[in-house]
Amino acid sequence: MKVLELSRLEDSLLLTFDGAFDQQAPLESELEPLLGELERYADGWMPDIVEGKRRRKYSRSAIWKALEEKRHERGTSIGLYRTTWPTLEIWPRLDFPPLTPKLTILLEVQPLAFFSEAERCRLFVEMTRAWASHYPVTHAAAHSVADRSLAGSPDFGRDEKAALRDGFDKIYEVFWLNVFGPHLVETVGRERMLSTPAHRVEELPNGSVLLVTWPTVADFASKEARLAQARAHAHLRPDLDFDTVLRTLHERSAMLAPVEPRFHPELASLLSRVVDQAASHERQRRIAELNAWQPPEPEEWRPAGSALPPDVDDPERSLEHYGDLAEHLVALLHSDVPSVFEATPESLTDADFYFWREEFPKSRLREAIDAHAVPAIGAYLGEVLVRNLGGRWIPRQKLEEAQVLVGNRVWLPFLRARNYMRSRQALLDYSLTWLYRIAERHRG
Amino acid sequence: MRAEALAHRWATLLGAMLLSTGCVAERASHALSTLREVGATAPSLEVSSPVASTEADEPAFSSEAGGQQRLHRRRSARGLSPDASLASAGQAPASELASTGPVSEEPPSCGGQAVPPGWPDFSSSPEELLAPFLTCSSPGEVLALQQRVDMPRLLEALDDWSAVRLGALGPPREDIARLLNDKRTALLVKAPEAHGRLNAQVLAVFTVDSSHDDDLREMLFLLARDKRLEETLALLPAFQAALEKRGLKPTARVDRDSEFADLGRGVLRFGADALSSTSMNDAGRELAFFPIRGQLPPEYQEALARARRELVEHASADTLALSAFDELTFGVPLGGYHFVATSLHGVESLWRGEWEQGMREATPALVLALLGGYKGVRSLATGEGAAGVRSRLRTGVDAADARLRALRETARQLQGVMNLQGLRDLAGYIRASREAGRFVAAGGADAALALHEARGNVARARPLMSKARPGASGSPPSKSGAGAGKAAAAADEAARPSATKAGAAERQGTLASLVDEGVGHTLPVVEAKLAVAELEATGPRLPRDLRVLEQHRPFLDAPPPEARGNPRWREYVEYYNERFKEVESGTAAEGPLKWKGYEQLRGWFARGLAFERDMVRLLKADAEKPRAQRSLLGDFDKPRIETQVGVWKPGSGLRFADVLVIEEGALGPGPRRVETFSFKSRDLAGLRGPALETQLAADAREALQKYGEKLDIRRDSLRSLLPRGGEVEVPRVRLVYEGGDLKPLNADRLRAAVTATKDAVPGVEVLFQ
Repeated sequence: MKVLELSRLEDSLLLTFDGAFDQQAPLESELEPLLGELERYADGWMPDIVEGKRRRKYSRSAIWKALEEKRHERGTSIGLYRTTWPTLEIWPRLDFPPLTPKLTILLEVQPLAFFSEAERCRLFVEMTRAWASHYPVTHAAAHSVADRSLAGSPDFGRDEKAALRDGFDKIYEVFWLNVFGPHLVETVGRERMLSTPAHRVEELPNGSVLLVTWPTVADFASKEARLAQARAHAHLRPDLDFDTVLRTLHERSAMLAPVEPRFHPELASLLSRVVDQAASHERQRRIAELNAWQPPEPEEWRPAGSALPPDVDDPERSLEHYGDLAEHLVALLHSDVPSVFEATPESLTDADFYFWREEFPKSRLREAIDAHAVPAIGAYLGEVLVRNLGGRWIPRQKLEEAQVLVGNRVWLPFLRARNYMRSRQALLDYSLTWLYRIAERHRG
Repeated sequence: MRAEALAHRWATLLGAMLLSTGCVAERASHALSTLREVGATAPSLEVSSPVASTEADEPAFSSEAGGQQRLHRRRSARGLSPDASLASAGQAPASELASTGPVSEEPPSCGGQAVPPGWPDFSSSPEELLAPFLTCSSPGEVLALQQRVDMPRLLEALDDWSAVRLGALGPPREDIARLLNDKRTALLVKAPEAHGRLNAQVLAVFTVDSSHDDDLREMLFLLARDKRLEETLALLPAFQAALEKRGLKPTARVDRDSEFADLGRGVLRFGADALSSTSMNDAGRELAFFPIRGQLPPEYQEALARARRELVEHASADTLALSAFDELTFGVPLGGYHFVATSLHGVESLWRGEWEQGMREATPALVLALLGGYKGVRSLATGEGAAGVRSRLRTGVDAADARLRALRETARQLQGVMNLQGLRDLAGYIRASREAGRFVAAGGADAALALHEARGNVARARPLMSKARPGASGSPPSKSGAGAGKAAAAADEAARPSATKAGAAERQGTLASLVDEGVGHTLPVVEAKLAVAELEATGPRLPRDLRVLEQHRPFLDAPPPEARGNPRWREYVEYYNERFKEVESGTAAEGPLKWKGYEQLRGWFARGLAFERDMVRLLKADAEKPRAQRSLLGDFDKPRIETQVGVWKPGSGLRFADVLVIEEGALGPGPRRVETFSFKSRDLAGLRGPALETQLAADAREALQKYGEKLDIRRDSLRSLLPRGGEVEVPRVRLVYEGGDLKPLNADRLRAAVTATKDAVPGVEVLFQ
């Protein structure tokens, strides 16, 4: 029963649903519409796993058990998942008295492209409509996760405190699918809201209004869909300028438009991994940035002719010392970066990525980095130069002056390590990979 | 030169451990073995020597004040392992015995005397069965000896009085506590008839004085159950008085359905004559009591003699006996009587001297020091070097002399860190429960201090203590060139397996690099935090089952493949063995973490400290800004930021709030505003919604429970700002998570989880930095 995990590489459809339920009614009958409509309309994305404290196969009784298991003095919440594609997470949460009874649902289906067909989208809308008809909502919205993030949801430009306090208390944004509760309807005016230009506008029996901008959600970023979205938004918010709204939407579309990675070839392996760490809404922007980024030329070298001569009494011991320091990096990284055992050039890229992912310069104590990490990284870099490029250590009393002679240049690996560990960006600007590549190029 | 270079290498390796979240490569093991060899020849590396660090510790001990500093002192008071220096020829180190550790191969001994061959022979006399316990020189040793024998059988074979004597030597093993109380109760019931009322009263007072509060409650229950309570109280007014002095209300339990008023039942049982106070005329009974009287501590004998004189002169036994016994119960905790009276001549005279000089104030400290079994007396070694002491300890007289000085020193130290009320409170905590008694008996003076810090709550004291235990941490590095220290280190070298020492140094080194005094991360704080983090670590653990633990016991030389070459393996083995001992002695709250969980704990621990340090700096910067521009401290007029503040709550005991902010400026109409902050470094990025909610809510509940609502601030410098001696109402606890890549990617999901937490746990504000 392995549950599929949501990935950060792809966009998905996210529904947030803020409603209420009748806590006088028996819970099982009160939740019947929630499950019944889900089972009726989930088209190819029905959950098959229910998780409370334990994980069970989807069934009504499993749901009651899970709700009971997770119940605390003020509420309960469970998770519904899938074991096969597409990936799904449904997270219904109930607040009980002394809190105001609330039903909050977060539903995410990945990938978003799963909702390219109009019929599947229609069924999704029908489900939401049925839920919203039964459980009075303040606000519900379904849309691309990436575009929601770019829109600034859930804060929409407010400070976090205010957003947490006020919630979605005015039409900050119109998404693909929206249900506006009576309060939001009032802020706009019922007549005005019902006359919104959109694919579908419908008044629900409890006074909420369902609004769908476009038949399908997967193509939300298309010109046509954006136009529809901007029209609806500007209609509901006469204080906003239509052109500005539309331009903002197009900008968002541009940010989400797939960008072809054209990374510096010698750093592509590192950069593509960096990009994969980005959230889906940042991914394309990140690719564009890194396409444009060029690694600065390494500065940690001198011409061989002006190398500092060795100044240690016992060069053998110094070499041994560098070897030991390098071993410490092996010790530090080997479980995450097994390639360090081999001291290959590729292991430098693995190390670059590891430090970047860990935000190492920021997330570890500076003193510890300077005292321990920098010497270990410098020594390891030097060892890789020695082993793979036929380099030779020129030991010095001061670590930062220690050099590795490769071809007609001497490299200063400890100095590089120091520059490298300055910040997360420095990990890219002063990458070990890049220094190695340049050293290789100048081997002669 | 060579040593320096190697020292550098050593430091680098420690750094690798500190930074590592994974384990160390095979290749590194080569470096390690080199280091171990080097360790034996380079004294400057021997930072772990307990004696060597004495000097460095000393100032902290005597000059600082406040909650954190107390931790400092505790470490110092611990003396880390003074036992080595106290061990005379043929004597097992006290801690070894007191640790109640795994049964060793050596024959049992106490106070340096091996038990007679064949002991315990359950058919021999009670005197013979008890004899080895009487040679013990501390309750810790008594406790350790108990671990080596079949105590239930042994106790069963003792007569009631011998059982009471055994109970007076120190806290019993938990499994024999009930049987012991049965015997104590039986003595109380039988004594009036067997020894006369006057003698029975002195026995009753001694029994009360040598029992913990939980024992006393159990005895009262037993008496009431057998409908003997009312009668016993009536026959032995001194018994009732002694109980009331201990804060117990024996009459509340008096058997309500008693058919007999007052002495009625007793009279029926024994006949009026038997209960006559002047029963001393009964030669037979007096003869039988004679040996018992000789076994009572001198104070009790004197009190008895005084009572007799009064009785002869005034013939009004009850009231006079009461006043004669009055002076006895001055609040000395358990076990003290025996050891004062019997263990060392010098101690008795010291005791007596202070007593006679009217320095009663000093005596609780002295007795506490005795209870701790000389642990915490490292300063014994200062000025002469441990090696010197050790050689001198070869003669018995010198040993006694050294112990005496050690004892006096410990008492002095205790007095130095606590006022009289503190000492009395501490005595009260120890008296309150057997568990507390065992905790202090096994852990010595630093356990006593931890117990005091935790206000008597043993469960809370344990993590405070565990960091101070040898092996759980090391001592701060000694100043190089401290002659005595070096000598001691060299002396230690021979005495201890180098593996242990290297391990301790390693861990100490790792922790030492996490120290940042500027944000309150002193070494003791780091250690305490690690102990707490361990306690709260959610990684998989082994059960508290000795059989299972024995099966899975890790060996230094046989790490599993995933731990091979990892320098933390050594640390883990030590940790495991420590925990094993605690499980064995019944003091462990949880079984040990499995290796993987331990590794994870240590990895996150370093990252968490770094985040906390950043947050403290950020808060300090925020406090400097004009009020309107502050992002976090806008509710304060003049915020004062304090880090690692000891706060106490009834439920959770003593905890250290990461940051406590207190209003230092103009006061409004309400009380002084106090807020607390708790910082967490957790990878929440990959969590599904429900798991995210569960984690946030659990952290929020914990933060509220420990740092929220009504708090008692323990830091002296802050207490003076507060009207009610440190008690404050905290309106808001802020739980701040490390943001960046650890934060959930999807803001909508995160908001839902934060809202859920806000709903479920009001009073806590969840933030991401």
